[in-house]
Amino acid sequence: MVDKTRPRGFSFDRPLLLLVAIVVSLGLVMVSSASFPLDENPYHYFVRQLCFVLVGLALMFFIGSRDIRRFDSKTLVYALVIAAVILLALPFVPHVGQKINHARRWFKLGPVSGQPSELAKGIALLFFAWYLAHKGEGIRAFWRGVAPITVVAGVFIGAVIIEPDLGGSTMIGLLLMVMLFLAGARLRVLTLYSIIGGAGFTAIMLTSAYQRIRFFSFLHPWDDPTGASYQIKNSLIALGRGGVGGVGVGNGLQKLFFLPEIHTDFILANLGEELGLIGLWATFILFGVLVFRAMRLAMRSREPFVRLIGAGAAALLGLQVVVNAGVVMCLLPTKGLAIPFMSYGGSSAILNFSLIGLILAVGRASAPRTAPEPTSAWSPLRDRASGGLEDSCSDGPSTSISWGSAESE
Amino acid sequence: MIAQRIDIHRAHGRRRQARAAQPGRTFHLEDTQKVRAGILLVFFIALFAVLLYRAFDLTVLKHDTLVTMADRMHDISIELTRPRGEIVDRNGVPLAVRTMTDSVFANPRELEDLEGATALLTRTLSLEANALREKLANKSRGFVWIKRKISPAESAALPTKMPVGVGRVNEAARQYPYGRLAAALIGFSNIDTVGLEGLELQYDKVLAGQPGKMIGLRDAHRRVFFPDGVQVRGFEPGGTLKLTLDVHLQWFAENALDATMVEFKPKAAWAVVMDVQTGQILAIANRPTYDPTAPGDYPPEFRQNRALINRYEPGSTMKPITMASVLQEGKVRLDEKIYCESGSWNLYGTVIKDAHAHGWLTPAEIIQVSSNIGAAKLGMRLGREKVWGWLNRFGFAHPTGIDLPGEASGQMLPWSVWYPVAVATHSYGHGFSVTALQMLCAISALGNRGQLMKPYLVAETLDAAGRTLTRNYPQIRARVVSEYTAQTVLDMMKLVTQEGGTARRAALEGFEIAGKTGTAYKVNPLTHKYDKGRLVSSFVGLAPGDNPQLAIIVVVDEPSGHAFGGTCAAPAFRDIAENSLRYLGIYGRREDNERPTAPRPLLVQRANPAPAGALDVRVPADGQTPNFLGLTMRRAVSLAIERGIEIHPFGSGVAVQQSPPPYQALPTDKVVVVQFGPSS
Repeated sequence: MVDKTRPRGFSFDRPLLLLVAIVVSLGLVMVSSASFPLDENPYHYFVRQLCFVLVGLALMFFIGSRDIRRFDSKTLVYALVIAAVILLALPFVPHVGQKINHARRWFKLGPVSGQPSELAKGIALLFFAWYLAHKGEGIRAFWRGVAPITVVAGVFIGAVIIEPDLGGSTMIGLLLMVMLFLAGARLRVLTLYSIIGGAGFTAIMLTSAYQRIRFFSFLHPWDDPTGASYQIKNSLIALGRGGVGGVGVGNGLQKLFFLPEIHTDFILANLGEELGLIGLWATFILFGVLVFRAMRLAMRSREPFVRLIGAGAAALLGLQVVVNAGVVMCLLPTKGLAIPFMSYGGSSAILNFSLIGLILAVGRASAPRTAPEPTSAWSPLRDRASGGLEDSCSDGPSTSISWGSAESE
Repeated sequence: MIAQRIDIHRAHGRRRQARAAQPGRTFHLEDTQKVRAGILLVFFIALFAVLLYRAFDLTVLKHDTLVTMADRMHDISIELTRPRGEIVDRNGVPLAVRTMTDSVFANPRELEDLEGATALLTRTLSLEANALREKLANKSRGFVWIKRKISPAESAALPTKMPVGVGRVNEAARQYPYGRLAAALIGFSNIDTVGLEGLELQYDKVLAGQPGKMIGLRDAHRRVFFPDGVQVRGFEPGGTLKLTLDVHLQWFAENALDATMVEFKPKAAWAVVMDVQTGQILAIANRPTYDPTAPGDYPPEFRQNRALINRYEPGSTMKPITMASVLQEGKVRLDEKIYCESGSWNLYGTVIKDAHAHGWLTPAEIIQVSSNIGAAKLGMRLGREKVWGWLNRFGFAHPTGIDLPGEASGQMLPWSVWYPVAVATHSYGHGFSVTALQMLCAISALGNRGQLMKPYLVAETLDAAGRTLTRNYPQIRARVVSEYTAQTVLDMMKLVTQEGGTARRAALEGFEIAGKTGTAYKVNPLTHKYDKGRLVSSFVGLAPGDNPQLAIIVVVDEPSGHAFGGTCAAPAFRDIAENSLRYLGIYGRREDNERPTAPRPLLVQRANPAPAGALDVRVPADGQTPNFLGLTMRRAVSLAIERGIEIHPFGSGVAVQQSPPPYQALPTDKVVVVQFGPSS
């Protein structure tokens, strides 16, 4: 089916790819720098992260080259939700689940291991977008609109929370709020949810000893420097050492076992130490532009599903950055959340590259394609139903006939 | 693809239906969503703004605080020895020098081959294997010294590439090229080169410098490592102390005391040589003495600078002072005769005796024959208040203010509590105690036109770059008597060393010597009474007599054989005076001194002559190392100074080895390491 009229070359959003490329490169440098003292083999973590990135990139391009509307499928969404529930149960299965740092967040099946809560975030996003897109105006109703999605989200949150992964569940909760907000749910529902969510969060913080220690160490990081707040204190010291320009890549000292998890959740502290304020601001601005760009790509579309999944993916990326940076800089209590593309970790890489893949697909779907030598005659047509026509023209030979005829003139 | 297309058409259809069913309202939802997306973006921008601010807050505003905390965690600083500056004599001859030696340390946690390292270090540093292995195996310590200040031979035996976990660093050590010479004066410093006694203590601030620090890092597991190799930072060499001391005069004084120690076997002996005109101390000798490189091996009293610390009853050396006071008060005529009671005078129930019985004596004769009764009678003419006052004017009972630690002030009761007889005893130097330095200053005033000088030992302090920090100048404490009185008493003191005087042994051919002997019984600490068996014999004198240049005091504590000052202290005085006057090129009579000065006579070394036959007389060309082999340390140092090179001496004895060897190209840093050992 060689089709001369099919738009050639690169249909992915270049600015987005460029941003991702920069952030991923920066992340690889940081993982390599932060992790070299941690293992006998100084490249152990770097090589593994490189593999994760390559797998992630492949996944990103695979998803990105799909038609985004193919994800608007009841079968797919239901299948993934069930898969997510099974995955979330895996850490509790004997011999498969792994307990690390007081939490059952990991499963290990033969050579494959992962953090199901990361994948659950992506699946939750897909479900929310699909549900809300189909609800349309119906979301303004509570029992028939908001309640069902709340139940499903509740299952996700509940499954993640018992691991316990308060960060993951908070993230899913925040995502639900953002999606409901974007979809047009009533503000009083959102207000109510905020109150319930905030109360629940606080209750868990105060009832679980593990979380309580983390919470108070966040409030008073300098009170008990060797105990509970050891990690956050060392994170702040790392950032403070950085100054304006940082101490230089590889010259950080906090990685010498002073700051636990410096290559994963606290990679930003290493970045701050080695690249300083300039590095931190560059990172935040890159992520900010990335979220902005993704949001714009999504909002270009007139299709609710495309808009919601794109904006949701953008918001999920942005939230992860904000929460992780907030934890690292002691603005939020410690949660155990990775920062996209920078923290070492396979599950996180798979989730975040998938999100970029979705955004790329959204970008392709929403691109206002300028036809080769468009004539003014086509303009009204595009204005009226741009989304549908443009996408169909790029994807199927059926519409290419009409374009072809136009082009051949 | 077809399925996809169908899907799209379906979607299309649905949207069309929806639009048809509720015209206008879909657009409303879409608009709401777009507005809310905008709000969400603004929200995100706000959140990112907070992040940007917080990053600025932590990395810039809290930078200093956090860096301090970080450094406290990461940095480990191992202080090395202080690079103490030199102590040099008035001619720049070094008495205490800084040398650089290697010290060996280990990081037990980093050590890979425990047995290999133990074997190597045991072999090269001659350490005990088991203790060393225990030290190296103790993983709880991040840093441990193995051996500090190793010898150059040990340094050379160590491999250039040390085993992992073992390292060496260059640090400063203290060397005293003249060994025991002036040891009590210079003092010593400890292993960390902190000054503990003498000048090393008094001028510690000038000498110490800033110790170098090995700056290392440590990780959270307390492993110490030196990422850029062992680097020493903050090393600032200390300043130089330039003394008024002359190493040659010091040598004469110590030699003379050595002879006294052999001949009279006293408990101790000390001597001070001072420049009469300026108060500069030229030599302070003490016997017995100690080795400043091993001060711990000697009892504390061996380390005392007795000239400043030991108090003794001066005895007859006080008579010239009494005479000067009485003359100044006009209470005696020079042609007067005083009845000396035929050698025994009962005063208020106390019998005052002379060594030899005398009848009528002139004031000059009282000094010459040292009559106690005569001196007592003169003193009593003044009364107790004035005697006390005059002693104070001459500086007794007060520290002289010399720039050395621990100076004693002597003991004298206030006149108001004196027994009636005390006026008499104070007049001939009993019933109170003085230090040798006080006595020397007081007698010097008579040779310095009645001016009492403040003694001082440090001419200059210089910083490491050789810039003068402080400079001491001669300081007149008081003009105590008139020039006429001073000259009169000086002339009387000349008689002491002449025929009929008490110190014929202090006479020097070609010179007139003004001096006074002194012998006092010591108080037995058990009975609190004078012990006839224990003496303090002394001699204080000025040379040459008609133009005093040098004031010399010799004090001999408990000489055996009941030796009086004229017997045991006077010969030592003569030795010191003779050598010093010759060395300084001073002639006996005034007119002789106006002749062009002859070449300065070479120092004659009597005590430790170098093996003459072994000496190499070749003169090295410029840029070549001189031949130190066979030289004593003194000579080697002198030669090094002459040649403008630096010498790092080790050991004691004569030079047996040097690096680089003789007549080789001089290294760029002009440092020659010389090993001293027993001469073969």
